Amino acid sequence: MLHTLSEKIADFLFDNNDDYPIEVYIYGIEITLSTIIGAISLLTAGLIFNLFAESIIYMISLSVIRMFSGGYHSKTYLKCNIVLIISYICSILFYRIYINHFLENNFISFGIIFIISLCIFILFAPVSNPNKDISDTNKNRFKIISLLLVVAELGLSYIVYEITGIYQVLIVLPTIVVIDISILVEIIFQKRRVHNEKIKQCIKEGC
Amino acid sequence: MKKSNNVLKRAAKSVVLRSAKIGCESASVHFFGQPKEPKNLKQILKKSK
Repeated sequence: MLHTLSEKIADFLFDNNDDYPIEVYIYGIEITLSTIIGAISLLTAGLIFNLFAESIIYMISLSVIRMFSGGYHSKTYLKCNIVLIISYICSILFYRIYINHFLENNFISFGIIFIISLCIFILFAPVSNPNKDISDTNKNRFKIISLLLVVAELGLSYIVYEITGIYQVLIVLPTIVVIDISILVEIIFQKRRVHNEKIKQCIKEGC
Repeated sequence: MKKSNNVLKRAAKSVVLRSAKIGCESASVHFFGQPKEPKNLKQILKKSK
């Protein structure tokens, strides 16, 4: 639906005499619209749960790291928004439980999530998906940037909380966990896709 | 009226191209939806600079 809408907007705004082929504009419009819809969904959920500041921190920390780490992507935009909202609600639940019961063990919790994330990012990031292939030259660059971003986000939120007591920054913890899970899920799906391809080929060749 | 339309069109064009460039230069777009990238997008964006 969003693709068709993007095609219609591109047809209305641009023509073939423009500097770029129409597909580039359609792609740009699709990214713009999907980002706006995602942001509006998160901010609305933030208003509903009365956690607006946390929603903004969640949105920024999630999108910035995922731009370099890659990870799971849904096939349709409806599914994408459902996954986004479910992951947000899970993060909020984790965050609420965390600030109510685990704040005394803040250093240990940060340490555990930091080590697990570091392992996942070193081993798997960046993860490509069927709609986005990452070139070999970009792979190392994205791995380093995403690792630095994880360190920066976790470090910053820990320091900000310890110095100022602003507990809203602790939403970064579940956000990083969501990114870790999305990387692992995409890796599993990739393996499954390869396996299915092999089976299809085998059926074709009659082995 | 025509002039303001042109300004709006140019603004829309720059936003859309910026998004396409971000999409092209990153491992994935912001949230959990990923549009299919046009073939040779990087070269197209470089060529037309």
